[in-house]
Amino acid sequence: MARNAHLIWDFLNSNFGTALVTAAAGAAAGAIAGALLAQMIAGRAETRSAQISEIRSTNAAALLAVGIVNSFIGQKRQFVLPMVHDLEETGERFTAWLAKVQSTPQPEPFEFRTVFRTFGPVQMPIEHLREILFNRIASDSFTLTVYQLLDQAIANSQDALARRNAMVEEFRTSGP
Amino acid sequence: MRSRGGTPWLRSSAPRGPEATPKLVRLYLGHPLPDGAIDDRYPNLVHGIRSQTDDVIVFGKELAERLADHGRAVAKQYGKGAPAVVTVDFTRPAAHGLIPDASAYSDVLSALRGVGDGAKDEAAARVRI
Repeated sequence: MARNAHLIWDFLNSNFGTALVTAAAGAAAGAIAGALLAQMIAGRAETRSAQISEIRSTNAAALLAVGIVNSFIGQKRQFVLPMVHDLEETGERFTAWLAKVQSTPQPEPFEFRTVFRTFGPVQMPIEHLREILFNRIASDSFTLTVYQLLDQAIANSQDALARRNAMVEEFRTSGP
Repeated sequence: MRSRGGTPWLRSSAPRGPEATPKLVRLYLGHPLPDGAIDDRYPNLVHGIRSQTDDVIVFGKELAERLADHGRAVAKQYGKGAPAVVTVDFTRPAAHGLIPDASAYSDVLSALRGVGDGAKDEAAARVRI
């Protein structure tokens, strides 16, 4: 046994043995480095693919949010502000008329000029937005909380619109 | 947006005298009815619709801007060749007065930003709005 160990030691210290061990060690180091590099490249490619996916999904979510905002801006301009203005203007005229008729024996009748318009609640892509924010991108707390506020505000708005429409129908059927 | 037309019969005049003002006018304005009761559901709904419309605009705008910021941050990490990130720009509607004054929402939004900019996720549950 001791003799075998001695022979191995002599072999490793020979020129051939040294060359063989050096080559083997070099090959092992090369293989390990190659594997690590391949793993790093694969990881980097995966990260970049995930980043591209994140950017695209984020763009989609941002566009959905912009679409919702634009829809409500249009609704505000075309419907909500005229409706509020009409209510306030009529209220001011009515108050002025009430003050005037107190001192007038034969007052002019109050002119009620309101034309009721009803708007159906518009379907919003809020569920699609939710799916992206909760499942497809790395949303932070602020983003998710603002989404919840947005969702609630849309639901409240649609509920109020529906209830106003019902009241207008009631006005129409009951008459002046 | 769907719109249904007006109702010409509503362009009527009230009979003379405040006591004879039609019920419709009183309901529309939320003024007291002849029996003294007040039904102000209609003006409340109108003001509620305005307020909720503003809420949607503000929160939707915040969300879109936050998402655009996030997209830009990821694109910066990616470096050269990153996909284009959408630009969110509401300057035109703001110039027309259609974007609500942010100061009305500053408390809510600053509280949320405090959570989103560094605090842990579970802190979101503790946000008081």
